[in-house]
Amino acid sequence: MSPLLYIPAFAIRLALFHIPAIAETLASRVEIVTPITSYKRLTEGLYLFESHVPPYDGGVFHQSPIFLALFQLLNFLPSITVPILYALTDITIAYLLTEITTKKQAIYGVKPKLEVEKGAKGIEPWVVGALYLFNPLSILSCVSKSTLIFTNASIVLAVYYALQGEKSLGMFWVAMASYLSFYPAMLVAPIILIILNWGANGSTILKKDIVLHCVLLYATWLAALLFLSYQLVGSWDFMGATYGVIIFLSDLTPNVGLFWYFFIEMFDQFRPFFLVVFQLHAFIFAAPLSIKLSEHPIFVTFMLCGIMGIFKSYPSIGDAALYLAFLPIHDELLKYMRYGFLTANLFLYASTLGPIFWHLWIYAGSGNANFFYAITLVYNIGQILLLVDVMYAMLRRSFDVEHPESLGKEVVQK
Amino acid sequence: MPINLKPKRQPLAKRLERRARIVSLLKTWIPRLSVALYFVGLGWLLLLPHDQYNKETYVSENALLPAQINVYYGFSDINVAKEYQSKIEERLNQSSLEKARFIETELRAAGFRATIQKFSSPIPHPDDVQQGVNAFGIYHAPRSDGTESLVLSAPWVSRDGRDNINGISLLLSVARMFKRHTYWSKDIIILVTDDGLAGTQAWLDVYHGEQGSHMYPVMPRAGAIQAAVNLDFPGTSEYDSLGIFFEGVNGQLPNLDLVNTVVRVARVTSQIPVTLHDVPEAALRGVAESLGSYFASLSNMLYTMRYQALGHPTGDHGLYLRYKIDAITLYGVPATSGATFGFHRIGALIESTFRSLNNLLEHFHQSFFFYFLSDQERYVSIGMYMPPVILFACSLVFDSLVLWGSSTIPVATGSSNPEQDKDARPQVPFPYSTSRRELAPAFAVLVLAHAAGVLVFFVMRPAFTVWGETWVGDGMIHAGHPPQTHHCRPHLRFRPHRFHHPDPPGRHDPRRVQQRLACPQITQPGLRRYEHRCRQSHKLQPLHCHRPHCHPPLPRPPAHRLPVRHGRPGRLARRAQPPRPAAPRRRRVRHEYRTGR
Repeated sequence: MSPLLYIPAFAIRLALFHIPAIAETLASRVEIVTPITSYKRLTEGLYLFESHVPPYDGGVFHQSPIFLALFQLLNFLPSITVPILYALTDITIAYLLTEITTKKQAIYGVKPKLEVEKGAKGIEPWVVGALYLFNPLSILSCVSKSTLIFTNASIVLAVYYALQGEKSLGMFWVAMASYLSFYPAMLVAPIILIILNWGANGSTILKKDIVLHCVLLYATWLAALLFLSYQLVGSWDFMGATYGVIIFLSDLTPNVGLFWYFFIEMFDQFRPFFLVVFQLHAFIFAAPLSIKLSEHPIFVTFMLCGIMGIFKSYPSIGDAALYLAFLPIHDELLKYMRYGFLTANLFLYASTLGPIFWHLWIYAGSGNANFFYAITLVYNIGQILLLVDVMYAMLRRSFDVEHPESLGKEVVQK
Repeated sequence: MPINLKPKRQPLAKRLERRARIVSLLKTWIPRLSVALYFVGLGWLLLLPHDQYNKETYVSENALLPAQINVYYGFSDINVAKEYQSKIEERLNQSSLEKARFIETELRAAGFRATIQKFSSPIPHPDDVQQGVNAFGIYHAPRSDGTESLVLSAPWVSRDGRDNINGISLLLSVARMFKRHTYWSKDIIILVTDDGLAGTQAWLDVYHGEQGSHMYPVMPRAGAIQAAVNLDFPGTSEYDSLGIFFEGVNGQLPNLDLVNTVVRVARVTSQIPVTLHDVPEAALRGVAESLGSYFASLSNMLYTMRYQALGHPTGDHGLYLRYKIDAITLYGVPATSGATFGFHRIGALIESTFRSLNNLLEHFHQSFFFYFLSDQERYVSIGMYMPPVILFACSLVFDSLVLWGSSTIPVATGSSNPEQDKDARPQVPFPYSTSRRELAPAFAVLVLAHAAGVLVFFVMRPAFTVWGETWVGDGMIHAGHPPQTHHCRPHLRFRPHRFHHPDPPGRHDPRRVQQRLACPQITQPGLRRYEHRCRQSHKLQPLHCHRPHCHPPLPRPPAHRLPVRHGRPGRLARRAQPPRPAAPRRRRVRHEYRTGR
């Protein structure tokens, strides 16, 4: 099944890359690329870097130094390499998702189940890959050459290696993801949980030691990556230009997130306070989710990716593409979900009206920023409803699995 | 004794029964409700032309002050216009180039900086040259800093197919009169376009830096255009009412204040009967008298809706709107009988309107961009017509909810024993649903609807842009890029500058670098040239954009020169850079006023 799946997906992406009108338009859409993932800005940084000018001077380039090395290397190759790299990264993500699904189904196969689930076959693993590959959001994000795709690939790789029990590689890819875009640092907890629960089968090491080992590995890898970057660009300027911009939000280009409008409107004296509130809010879910759902660390990864995709400072639709890809892995939850119609509609409204309102604001001049912000709010409400719905489904199913006798009876919380 | 504050819950069976009843009630009533909503919306829309439901227009932008000036357009100007009338009549059979040269010469004689613009035209010419020629001239106004301008344009051919003789005569006489006066604080562009919409589109493209395949390398400019008025006065006779056309490409409308200004000036200063579109004012009055004012309003609104739905611009003004320039076409409805008006009143109208536009402090933004005009001085705002539209949408959403609810296919239970079924039947429904949904018909409808939409789109073929080629009406104009890319920095209105624009302040400001980065040309091969070496920091500075409106890398003597060092300055030196010099005052006002020639 797989090649049948990958070839058309690869072909679609390459075809879209080769229509310059589409590729260039996508590369400048604020819904798809952000200041910290824009390929245009990357070429700017790369040019400065190649001209022996500090790439972070000028305040345009906000991406990790490792991209400079990677794309400088690609500059020596024919220009088709970059589209192929992006398309192959997407296909790798899809392949890993199918592998993760296979593994997850093997693990959940021996767990207690509901009566209706017995005998029913779970989702075919290749369907999960197909849902990612043919999701319009992931296609658009890939063709826009947003560098977010590498963060997404790192997250998926981390989950994959953690499931394989490869502590070192798993932690390396989390470190890579958090090195690339900062927020995935909160994924350390669920990845360690995956290693603890399922990765380290048959080992006699104490759990505490595994956790300590993983955290040390993470810190080492992260330090190594940062030091490598320092060696590459010759100064620590990149810390401020990448993580500083993500945390302190110095670039207020509109995006689909919740930050930009608030911080444009806000008086300067409140800025530090609300920065703390907003950033803390994004991270605050990591601990409770990891504690409450420690039995389902892949699900925790999904939830945290969703929370990142909504509450990070520069979100784009590429973030949504990632967590939506994790959703069908837990196909047993779909039957519990109640707001499917509403969520789907909100996504559709936002994707139709978003570009229209942007046009009214920026080009036609007959609308204003409130139009676009309103529709990003609708988009985020849709995403939040989806997460709330999935969370409800998870908790309710866990309850039903633990209390099979309660099904069909009224349950009252006292 | 503990008091139980909780209300007593009804037994489960009763609650379930009630819930089932509500669901079935909703299922029966919502389809009826949605039909009712549709008709309520329709009725509401039909109420809007009634005088109770629309309001009188008002000028929202205080700076405009329409009809507050003394007009100077007088007998000598009328005589000039009449002379032009005969000169133009003689030249009607000449080629496009000769006609454009005539306009250019006349504008130059009047003191304008005039030139012609050739463009490849979709319309066949008699001499077999597929080339149209626009002529235009710029009056760099004495009190302007060259960043804002107004356009007065006229096409060679009127919208009714006749030659726009009076329109161009008026244009030239008004141009001469404008040049005599010193109160202009915006530059004035006088434009005569060839080949209908194609000429206007070609001129706008090149003015905004969309070179495309237009063969015109250099373009005199006069800053961002704030407003445009297009004159369409066919023939050589007089008119009985002034028609106003304002619908643009894809139904876009100019700011209501522009329409208000023209209408008010026409009523107060030049006392011309105004009508919407080309319906003679007398005819509208006839409808109002025989059927009631409601039907006259309804007819006006239906005309506007038709033009907007078709998406075609109703005149050359419609193309300006795509560039965020508010524009309007003034059309002379030919006289059949009764009172008429000619050059004098129209000239006064144009002069007074331009004096108002001259007062604009910034872009038109105060008044409505979405409206219906039920009468030349009454409007229906977006706040009034959106509720019925929302009702239409609600009726669809409700219906789709019911369809969603009834699209589930119940799962067949395996057993046939009713007794067993009764035992197995849960007290309350399961928290999950294993039923499937019939989605294929829904998706089929969706796909068919989209296909039909694409078909309608291509059949009507309004002016739209596909992959860098602009389609206008029935002819294709090669325009290179879609005009949306004309912004160098999308969140700011862009201002094309004059030729010798002084080096803008803050060249070293990182935000300016960012602005250039936002220019669409950066990724194009061959354009990544970074020749400019900053004299302040001895660094290569990124300057990507080679577009005419982006600032060229002009060398500027630095205000604070660091000691000359070879190679990159060290970190300390970079840190110790002196503060940036204060930006020079942006707005320069020339104090020597020219007195007429």
